[in-house]
Amino acid sequence: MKTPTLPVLISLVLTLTTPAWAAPQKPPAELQQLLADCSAAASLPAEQLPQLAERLQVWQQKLEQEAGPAAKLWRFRLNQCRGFVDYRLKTEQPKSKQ
Amino acid sequence: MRAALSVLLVLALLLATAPVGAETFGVKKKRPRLSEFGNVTLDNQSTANNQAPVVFPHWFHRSRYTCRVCHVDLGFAMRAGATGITEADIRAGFYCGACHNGRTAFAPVGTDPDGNEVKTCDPCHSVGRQVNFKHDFRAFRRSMPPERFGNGIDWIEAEEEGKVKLADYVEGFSVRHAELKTPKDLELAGKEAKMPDIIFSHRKHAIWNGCESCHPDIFPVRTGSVPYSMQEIFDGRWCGVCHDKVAFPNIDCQRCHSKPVY
Repeated sequence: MKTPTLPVLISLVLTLTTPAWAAPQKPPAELQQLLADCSAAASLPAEQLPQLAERLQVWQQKLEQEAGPAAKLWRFRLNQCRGFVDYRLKTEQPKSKQ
Repeated sequence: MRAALSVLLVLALLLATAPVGAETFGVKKKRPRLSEFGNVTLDNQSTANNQAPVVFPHWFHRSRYTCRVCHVDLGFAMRAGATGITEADIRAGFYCGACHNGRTAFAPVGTDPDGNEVKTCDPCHSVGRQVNFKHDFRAFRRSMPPERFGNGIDWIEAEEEGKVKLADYVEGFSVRHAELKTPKDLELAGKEAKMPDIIFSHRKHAIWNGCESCHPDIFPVRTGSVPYSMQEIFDGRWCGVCHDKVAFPNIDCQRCHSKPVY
């Protein structure tokens, strides 16, 4: 009987070198930039907020159907950021417009 | 006989009139131990999977990290159980797994020097279990500036004195950014007679929590546009979302009603 040595070896090496505790997958560059902009949303000039809100909406829609912990986390963060951007847009309007 | 009757009469009068003037609001709750103040019990799926529920000790985590790191960057909702964390999420390196990975903090599953698998469930799944924790609250508290309530620690002073250094960054989740424009502290007029006005440390709250932790979920309003009451705060709304649960409790009046009166 032929022993499948190579596949067994490959499986063994893969098993031993793969960490039991996975490192989280980094978000795509565009999403990373969006999260970076969110981190600075409090200091962003008011006129740049609508554009940020639009970019957030695009990514919120993209992630809506995605499953898994990464998508769950990014959705949470984008929703939180969107809420804050909307809050700023609402509260920084002149009182007469409200 | 007459004296005894008089005493009885006075007692009856006292008992009958006791509720008058003793009117208050809310229900008196038993205060937690200093070491347990801020603990959150999480039982999304533990009991269902024959595991003890998780006790999350806020005191230890807040001695090392800002609130913002966990409640913004790592995605923990402010309400226990609302995040819906699963063990698979943690194993994939998210939520608790962002730090509990065997490098920053102990991992739930690791290996001993001989390469055998070692499970470290008890420090987290600790409800109803006798666990010898690595970090001792009493010893930690003794090294911190004291406070009357909560954990018995003045966390603000502890940070100002450099006794705790709060990290605001977790690799892979946080984003480095320029220093934010910090908001000015606010003076809010108190509604209770003879209570000093409130000085709200907007700056400290923003640095520790981030803006998006509070706005708009907890405070969806422009400052002063909606009056809120102490009753609502005692009931867990507004400031009461954190104060009384993790941050110093609402019975420590002068921490907020702190504007000098003369």
